[in-house]
Amino acid sequence: MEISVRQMYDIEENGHKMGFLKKFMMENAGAAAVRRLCERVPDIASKEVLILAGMGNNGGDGLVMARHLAGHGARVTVILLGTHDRIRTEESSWNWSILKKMPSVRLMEGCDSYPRPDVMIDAVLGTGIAGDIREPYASAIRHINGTECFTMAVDVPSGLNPETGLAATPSVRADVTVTFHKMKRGIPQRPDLTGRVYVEKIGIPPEAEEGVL
Amino acid sequence: MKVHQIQVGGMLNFTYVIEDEKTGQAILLDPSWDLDKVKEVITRNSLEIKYIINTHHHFDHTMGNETMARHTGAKIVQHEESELHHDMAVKDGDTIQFGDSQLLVHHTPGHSRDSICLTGDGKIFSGDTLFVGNCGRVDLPGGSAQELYHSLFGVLYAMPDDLELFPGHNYGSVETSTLGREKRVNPVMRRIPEQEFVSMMGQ
Repeated sequence: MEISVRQMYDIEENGHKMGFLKKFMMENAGAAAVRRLCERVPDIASKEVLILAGMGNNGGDGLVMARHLAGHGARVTVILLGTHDRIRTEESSWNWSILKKMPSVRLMEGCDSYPRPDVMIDAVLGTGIAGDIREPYASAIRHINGTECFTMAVDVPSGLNPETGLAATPSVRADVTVTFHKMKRGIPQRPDLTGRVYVEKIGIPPEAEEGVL
Repeated sequence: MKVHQIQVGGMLNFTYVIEDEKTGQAILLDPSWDLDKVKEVITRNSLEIKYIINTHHHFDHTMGNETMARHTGAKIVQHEESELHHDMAVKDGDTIQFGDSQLLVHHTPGHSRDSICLTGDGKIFSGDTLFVGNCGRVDLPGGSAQELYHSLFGVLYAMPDDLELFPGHNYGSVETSTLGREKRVNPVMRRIPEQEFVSMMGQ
């Protein structure tokens, strides 16, 4: 079953109100994405992973991934596309503050050089995008597309509108996309951008769908 | 010449205090964040900052200029193509004297139009032109992969291998390197045709 972006938003809100807080959803999303990544990329401990993280909850999923990947022994760099005081959500800020205590993860706020990783994680833009892609997001997306390595998009390839399937310029072309809870209707329309799509449950109670679906 | 390397800010910048040990005169290179740390190095070593030099005009290399100029009374030195406020402009081939030491200016555009590297006493301060294991971005305004190619292979490659490398950010596996090591192992220093380099840099 495919759902709309609005329905997904309402389901998350309902789950949050039930006490299954968004930070738990974020935790499960990041953990599920890392499980899929380890399946697709053998010997993750020998790999350099670059996570490009935006300032909202899509970026927050990427921050959770960084912590899990460090636990798997991967060499992880996170480039936050802004400064940490501009992180937009409490859940993402909380995850950033944990990473700040982890010397095993290299954190950059903005960058003057893009690393050349073995694996790239696109956690730049999620479902909330509207209009043209601005800097520094556009450069980050161009860097993802210009780097020859395995690329995973978190929730949706950055630039792709998960409601309409319309792609902004530029949009990420991923090898795989891990989206959460249920398929959003625009995602299957652009297999050229998403690559293989996985839909992962993140612990939201089915009761949170009541009155929405 | 003694180098104090100070990591500052969330972008992993390096600010340098470069000391002429004989006279206590010094250069302050790229002040931005964490100026208290920088002031402490200056005070602890009883240094007199003669010049504040910026490897290029980007904010993460210059935002501490005015504060440190007031604090030290030093003149601000930048490449002549910089549009920021500076007291003294330099160009390729100029030397900057402090105490009994001197630094030679090399214009190395590519990351930005006004990028410079400085060499002296077996050291190179490479700014955002060359990092340990990488080089600067070329997709910011004023950046150019072609120009960076010529800076890396026309300018830096001709320099001696034993130059100790002090980059503008802590982006590598180690804080410092040598130019020779970077020529051997840094992927951006592999001798490839210009067009291949340009496409590798995504332009």
